Amino acid sequence: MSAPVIAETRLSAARVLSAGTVLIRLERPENFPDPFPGQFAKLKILSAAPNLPPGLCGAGFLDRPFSFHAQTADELSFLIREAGAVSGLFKSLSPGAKIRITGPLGRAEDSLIKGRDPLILVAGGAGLAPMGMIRRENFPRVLLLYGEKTGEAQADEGYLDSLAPDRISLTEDGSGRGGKGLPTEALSRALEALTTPALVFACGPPGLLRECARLCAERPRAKCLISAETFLACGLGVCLSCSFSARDGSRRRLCVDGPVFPAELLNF
Amino acid sequence: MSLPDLKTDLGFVTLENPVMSASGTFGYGLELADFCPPEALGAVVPKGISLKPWPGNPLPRAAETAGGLLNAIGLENMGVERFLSEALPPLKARGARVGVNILGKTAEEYAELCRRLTDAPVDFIELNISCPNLHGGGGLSFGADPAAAGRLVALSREAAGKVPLVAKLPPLVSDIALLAKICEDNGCRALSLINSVPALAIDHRSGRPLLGNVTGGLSGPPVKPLALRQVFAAASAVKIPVIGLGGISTAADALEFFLAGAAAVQVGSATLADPRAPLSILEGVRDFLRERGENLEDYKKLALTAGKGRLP
Repeated sequence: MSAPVIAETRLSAARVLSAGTVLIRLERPENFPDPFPGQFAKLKILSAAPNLPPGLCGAGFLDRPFSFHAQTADELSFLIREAGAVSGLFKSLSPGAKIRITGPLGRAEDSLIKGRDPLILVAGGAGLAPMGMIRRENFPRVLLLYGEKTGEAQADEGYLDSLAPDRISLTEDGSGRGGKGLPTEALSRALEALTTPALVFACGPPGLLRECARLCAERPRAKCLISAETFLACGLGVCLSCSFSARDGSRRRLCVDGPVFPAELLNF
Repeated sequence: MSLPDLKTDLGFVTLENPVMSASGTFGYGLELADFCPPEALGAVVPKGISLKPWPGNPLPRAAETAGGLLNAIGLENMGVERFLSEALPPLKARGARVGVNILGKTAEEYAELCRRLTDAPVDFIELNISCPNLHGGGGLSFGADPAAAGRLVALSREAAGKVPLVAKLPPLVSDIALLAKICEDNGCRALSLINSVPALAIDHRSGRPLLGNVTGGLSGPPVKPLALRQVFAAASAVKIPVIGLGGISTAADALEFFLAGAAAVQVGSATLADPRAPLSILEGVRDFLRERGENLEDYKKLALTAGKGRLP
């Protein structure tokens, strides 16, 4: 794995996927290492007010961590859900906006790079973010189980088609496409029907992750990986903001030992 | 003018330049070496260490507040034995100057840590008597009580042998000048201040605190004016050098601390946003002085003095 780099780059395009969610594409800095599935970068909007001191520039004091969503030779993309004042700034950026990127950060999870088993992606809301990094040609079968609270928050079909043609979309209140329900209910049914081992990769709110871990623990054929989240400051392993005790008794830093962990390592 | 002279004489050691990393923001000194080589700084102060490894506080341990950072890591660390065998040797092998930040639950634990470090290749020991995130004694409970601080420094002084002691002071005490003087009188060779400011953040929707520890320490740009004032007050009260820190994120910030009486500075939270921060601040100070045609010692002559600065 390559060491992370810090570079200044520009926004090439921003596409609003739904209320509160934007897919941004950045010009790929020269010599930027290939990010692997599960890895993330820290982003900072520099053009909000570039001449003000850090902390006063309107883009927050710390750079914000986001999972890589996809990469090409020329671009890096991130799916960003508005969760606060800073993440909310991204949707109103124009092409050319200056952004600082620090990455790739985190550990590359080997089993998300190439696998023989069917891969079930479970995404709740912003949990779609890392799913675009999965290379479908490397997996025999990919099923996406995608849940949102409301139809308004659902990503558009065109985008979802490009992400995973084989999918189940659900909304908690039944106001969107695909009917009412939770992605974990769909996971339970999918696991019931399993005849072979499978890999489950989940990202989303804590309740969803807990339930995915529980369902997979009941079925030895399903290995569950979780893209975990907590507030992190440096992203480089020095501040210990994200350090926790894993179930095996070891200390883990989410930023450098994760953010993707086998579900059995996490205490829910 | 050629490059300005940035040499910084602290009395017990002369640093190549006045910029250090602040404890807790630079790992054990090597993790960020690709962005900021430890030997390029005046000195590095690794993560605070205790006698035995500590697990620290529950998650979440940090949160951003307007313009700054709130944290309650709780001094998670590898313990002094692993520090001495694993972390210190590669740091010294690179030629870095190292100040070791230490803390314990009792004054005797501080003294025992000093004893373990007496024969180690360290440039100074920084007594952390100001961490706001410890429970059951230690850290701020000493800094908040001048008599307890004096006793702790005296015990540590006896135990530390030739290794110089620096006391790291808290921002909020009834009389920072008195605390500074007591640390000096009991054998500290320098002071560093401020540690983070005891603070709280609450989510108005959930009604929950943002930190697992409930309260934490505030750092970053919002605390800089408070830090400048306390550095000014402490530097006016003692003859030993004062190392200033608190919200330094630009070269201008560092220069302001020299004018408040600091002999050297530490860069903390800014490193978490950009690991190159200590180095870019150092380069900024150098550029500024080169343009003025001054060495650092010339510039420090502009510092406010207690008389000029009208300290109450």
